[in-house]
Amino acid sequence: MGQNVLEINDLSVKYKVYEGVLDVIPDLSLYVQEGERVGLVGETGSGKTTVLKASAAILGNTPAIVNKKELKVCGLSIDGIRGKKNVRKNVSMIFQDPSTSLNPTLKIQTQMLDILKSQFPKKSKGFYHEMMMRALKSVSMPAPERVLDSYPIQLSGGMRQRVCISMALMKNTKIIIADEPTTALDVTIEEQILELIDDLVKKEKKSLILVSHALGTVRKITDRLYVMYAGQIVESGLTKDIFDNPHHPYTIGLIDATPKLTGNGIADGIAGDIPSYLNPPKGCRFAPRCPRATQICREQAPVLEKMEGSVDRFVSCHNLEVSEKPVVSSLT
Amino acid sequence: MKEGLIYVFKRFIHILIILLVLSFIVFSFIRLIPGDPVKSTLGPLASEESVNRMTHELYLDRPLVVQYGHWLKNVVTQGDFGKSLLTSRPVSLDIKEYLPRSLELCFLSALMILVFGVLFGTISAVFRNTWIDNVIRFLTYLGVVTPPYAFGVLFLLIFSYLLKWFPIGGLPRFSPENVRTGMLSIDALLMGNFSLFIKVLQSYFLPCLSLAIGSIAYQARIHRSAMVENVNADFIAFAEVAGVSKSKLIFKHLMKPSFIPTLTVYGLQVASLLGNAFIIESMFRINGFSQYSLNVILNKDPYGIVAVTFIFGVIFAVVNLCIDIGVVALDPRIRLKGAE
Ligand SMILES: Nc1ncnc2c1ncn2[C@@H]1O[C@H](COP(=O)(O)OP(=O)(O)OP(=O)(O)O)[C@@H](O)[C@H]1O
Ligand SMILES: [Mg+2]
Repeated sequence: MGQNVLEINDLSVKYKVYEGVLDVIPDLSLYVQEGERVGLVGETGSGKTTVLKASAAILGNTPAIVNKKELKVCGLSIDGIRGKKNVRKNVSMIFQDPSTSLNPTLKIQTQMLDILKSQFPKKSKGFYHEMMMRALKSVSMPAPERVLDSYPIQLSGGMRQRVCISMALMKNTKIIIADEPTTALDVTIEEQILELIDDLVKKEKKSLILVSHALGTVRKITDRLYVMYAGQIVESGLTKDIFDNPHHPYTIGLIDATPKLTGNGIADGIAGDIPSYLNPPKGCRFAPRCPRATQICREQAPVLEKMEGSVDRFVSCHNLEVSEKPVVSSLT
Repeated sequence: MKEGLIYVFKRFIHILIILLVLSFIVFSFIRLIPGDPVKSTLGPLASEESVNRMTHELYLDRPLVVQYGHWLKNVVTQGDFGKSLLTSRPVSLDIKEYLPRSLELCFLSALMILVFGVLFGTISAVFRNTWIDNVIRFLTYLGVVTPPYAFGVLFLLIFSYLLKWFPIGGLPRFSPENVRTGMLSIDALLMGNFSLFIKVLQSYFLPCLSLAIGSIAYQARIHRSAMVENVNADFIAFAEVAGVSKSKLIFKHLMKPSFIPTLTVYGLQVASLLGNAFIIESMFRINGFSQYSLNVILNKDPYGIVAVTFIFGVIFAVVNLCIDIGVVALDPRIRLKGAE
C-alpha cells in the first residue's frame, strides 16, 4: 500500500429532476490506495453508481449538480482539461448494465477501434485487429471474429458484458472501477472474470473499486469495504473486520440479508425502503428503518467517526454502545 | 447488408400496393362527386351528341373498374394521365410543365431543413442549458408557431423591398429551347451559364426559406432533444471513460443514434413541403405544381385530380422510402428485425 490513487473529500451530488432536486449524496469522503481492492456495497438506489461516476468525471452529462472540496485522481484534481485528461489516463470503468453501455448503432469492431485509436494513434490495421482479438480472448469470448463484426443487439447479455469488460480493460489504467461487473454472467464465467480482474490488480499493482450485490464475492476479493446507505457511508473498514463484526445496524441487516450457504433461503433482511431523496429525513437517514432508532436519531444526523483502537474502522451511528450486545447475529 | 436490402425491398412492395389502393380510391371518389364534368366543361348549350361522344372518349360510360384499368394501363405504359378538362390538354403535359419547378423549390427547402435544422439542433445540444441554447430554443419556438406566409411577407418586405437583395418574386425566364429538365437551376447549369444559375438560386432563396423555416425550427428542436437524450445514455459515458476522442464522441457515437428520430421527423417534414407550397408559390409568383393542383381540385377536373393525387402519393412514397433506407442504414435494430 502507499499513496492514494483516488481521494474524495466532502462530495455532494444532487440530481435536478422534474419533481425537484434529489439530494442523493449529501457529504461523502472516500479514498483508495495504490494496489488496494476496495468494495462498495449498499442496497439498490443507495448512490453507488453515482459515486463511481463522479470519480470517473462523467456526471457532467447527467442532470447532476456536483459540489466537492476535493476529488483527486492520482494526486491531481479532476477539474479542468488537464484533470480530465488525467482521469481518462488513469481510470477505466466497467458499467453496471451491459445492455445500455454499448452504442446500439455501431459495430463492436468500430467501438473498440475508436478506443484503441485514441490510445495508439496511427498503427496498422493488423495491429488493431490483434489488440481487439487479444482483448476479447482475455475474457474467454467464444467466436471473437464474429463478435467483432456484430452489433450489440446481436449478442447475448453475457456476451455484451464480456465485450464491455474487455473494452474497459483495453486501456491500461491504474484504477479499475467495476460497477457490478458480473451480474449478467453465469457462475463459472463470473469466477473467471473476477479472477481476471483480480490477477490484473495483483500483478500490475492496480487499484480496484468493486460494487457488487454478491457479498460473498466482495468478501473474497476486496481488502477494504465501504457500506453505503441512502447516499452516505455508514460504515467502513477492513473487509474482514466488517464481515466478522459489523457495527452499524444497516450493515448487520445487509449481511444478514444475504443467502447463506448453510441456511435455508434468504434471511429477513431489513424491512422498508430507502427514503425519498426529494425530502430525506433530517436526522439519520436510516432512522425510519432502524431497530435501534431513538429520539436523537430522528433529530440529528450522526457523523462518521473512527472507532477507538481500530484499524481504519469508521461507523456513523448514535447508538453504537448497544451494538456490543449484538442485536442480530450474523454469519454464524 | 443483405438484411438491409431485404427490408428495403419489402418496403418497396408495400409502397406499390399502397399507391395502387390510393389511386383506385381517389379514382372512385372522383366519380362520386356531384356534377357532370363533361357537361360543365362543354357548357349548358352543348348538344347531347357531343356530350355523349366526350363521355365515351373519356371512358366515363364504362364500369368503374374498367375505367380504372384503362387509366392505369395508360399511366404505366405511356405516362398518360388522361386529358385535363381545365386546360384541354393532356394532364401529363401540365405536370411536366409545373412539377419540376415545385420539386426544385421543395428540394432546396429540404436541403435547408436538413442542414440548418441539424446545425442549430447540434449547437443547441452541445451548449445545452447555456444562453446559446436558450436563444436557439426561443427562436425555434417562434419559428414553429409562425405560419410560413408570415415569413414570406416579412422577407419580401425586408430583403426584397427595402434592402433589394433579392427579386420581389418571380423566376428568371428561359427560352423554350433551353428548357430541358424544367428545373431552372439544372437547366442553367446545362447551358453553362453560371451567372444565370446564381440568379436562379437568388430567386429561389426567399421562397425556399419561407417554406422551410418552420420545419428548420421544428427539426432543430427534435435534433436537440434526440442528442440531449443520448448524451445522458450510458454508452456515451462508457465510450468517454474508455477514451474515445471528444470529436468522435460527438460526431459519431452521439450523432449516429440521434439521427434516427431526426430522420424520421425529417421525412414527414419533407413529404409535406409540396402540399404546403401553394401559398408560397402564389406569394412569390412561382407558377408551380401546388397551385396547379389547387386549380384542378377547385374545378373538379377528374383526370387532373387523380393525377395530382397520384403524384403526391408517389412523392410521399419515394420520400418515405428514402427515409426508410436512411433509418435502416443507421439503425441495425430495425434492419435485423425487419428482415425476419
Ligand atoms: N441521471 C440521473 N438523473 C436523475 N436521477 C438519477 C440519475 N442517476 C441516478 N439517479 C438517482 O440517484 C439515486 C442513486 O442512484 P444510483 O444509480 O447511484 O444508485 P445505485 O446504488 O448504483 O443503485 P443500483 O444498485 O440499483 O445500481 C437514485 O434514486 C436514482 O434515481
Ligand atoms: Mg448502480
